[in-house]
Amino acid sequence: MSRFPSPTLVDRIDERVQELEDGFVRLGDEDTPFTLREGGESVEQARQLHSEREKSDRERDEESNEPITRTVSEWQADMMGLDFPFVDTIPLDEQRSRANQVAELATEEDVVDRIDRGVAFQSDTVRGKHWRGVQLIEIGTDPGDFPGFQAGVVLAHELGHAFYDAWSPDSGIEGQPRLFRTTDEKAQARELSERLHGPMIETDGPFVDYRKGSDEELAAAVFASRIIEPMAAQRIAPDAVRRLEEVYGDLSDKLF
Amino acid sequence: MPHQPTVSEESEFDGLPRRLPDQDAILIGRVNGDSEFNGLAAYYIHGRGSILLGRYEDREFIPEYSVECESRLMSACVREFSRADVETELSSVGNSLLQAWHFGDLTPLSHKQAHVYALREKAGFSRDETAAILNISPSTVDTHLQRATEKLAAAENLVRFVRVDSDELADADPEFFDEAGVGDDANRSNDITPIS
Repeated sequence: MSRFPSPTLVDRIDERVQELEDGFVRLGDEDTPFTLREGGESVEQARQLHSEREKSDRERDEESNEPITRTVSEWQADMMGLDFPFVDTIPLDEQRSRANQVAELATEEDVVDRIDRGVAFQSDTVRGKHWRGVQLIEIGTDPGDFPGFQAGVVLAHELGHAFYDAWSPDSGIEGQPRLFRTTDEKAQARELSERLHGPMIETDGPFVDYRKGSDEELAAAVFASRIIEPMAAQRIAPDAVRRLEEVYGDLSDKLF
Repeated sequence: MPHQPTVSEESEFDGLPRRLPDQDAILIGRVNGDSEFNGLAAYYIHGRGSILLGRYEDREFIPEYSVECESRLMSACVREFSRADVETELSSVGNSLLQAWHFGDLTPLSHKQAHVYALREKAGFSRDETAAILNISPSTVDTHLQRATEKLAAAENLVRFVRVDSDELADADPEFFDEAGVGDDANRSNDITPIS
């Protein structure tokens, strides 16, 4: 379930949402293509510069996510190696398209029975749900949210749950392995989860943010990243992505 | 229109359903006391292999936190939850699974057999309810229960055997050792045979 504490409300999230001096609003302390929104004059400057590039360069640059900078001059010096938020990052409609392709595959292969979009959830903090018992995915996003809570990422995340369900053993009475086994794999998976959805909630223990403590949540995050921004996923989390490909590739040769 | 999930009729703790089939969730317990987690319900989610804590609202479980548990065994996760450094209260299923963890750890029963035995024989859950709780078929419940019963009967035989004085062994009546419920497999695996 893509609940991830919604950035648009919930009092405790306010602490994680920062209004930056250049007009950006950020979820957490790290600049990522999924945890920034809005932006001021610098975005307009970067868009102007981007529009002056060759069309083929623009399109090629927008196919993948590179490290983010919010400084126009720095970006201008290395446009192919860096990204400016909402300028040459992967556009939201392309993210949605990539997720939809996997959704079609998941339906064809009976990993998912049905996908309902435009759902008005009763809880304002929910953006997507995967109902394990009935193989149903529901999506209900808000255009004002951060990119990590928009339709493409949320659908890809819920599909990640569906594929995890297809891979995972059904019963809790056998000692079955987890998808991520090593410390590196888990740490990298967590990094991708926070890249997409912001920092996890810190608690005083003994319980942890349900993303952190759950193999399935981390797998869904890595899956979403692998679908939406494959090159960045492999660059940031090589071991976790390799493990995911190994496991889910067995479920569908057409997936990656 | 959001999906309207089904919930089990049985509930505990003032309205928490024992099972949430559409979420593959089984009620394990809840958190009490005055910590930040107070009032949260704890559900084991099949497939996910972990216990999540959260709120139950509008026939749906909304997860917020997770119990860190290295094992994916239901009973092992229940034990982790019960040992957490906050006040927890186990549901009827949670109590049975905690007992199952001890059975699996301290007796010849395998984990599968221990889970079924604790729920069916000790807690009195029905065959179908046990199957639903463990996410296995009713016939699998029967199989594990049969094997558990055989093993425990064999173990009882063993205890009775070792308590017999050596000078009484020669005169022991073969009927002394009750073979009821002890199948051939159990005899072989435990090397227990009646005295002849």
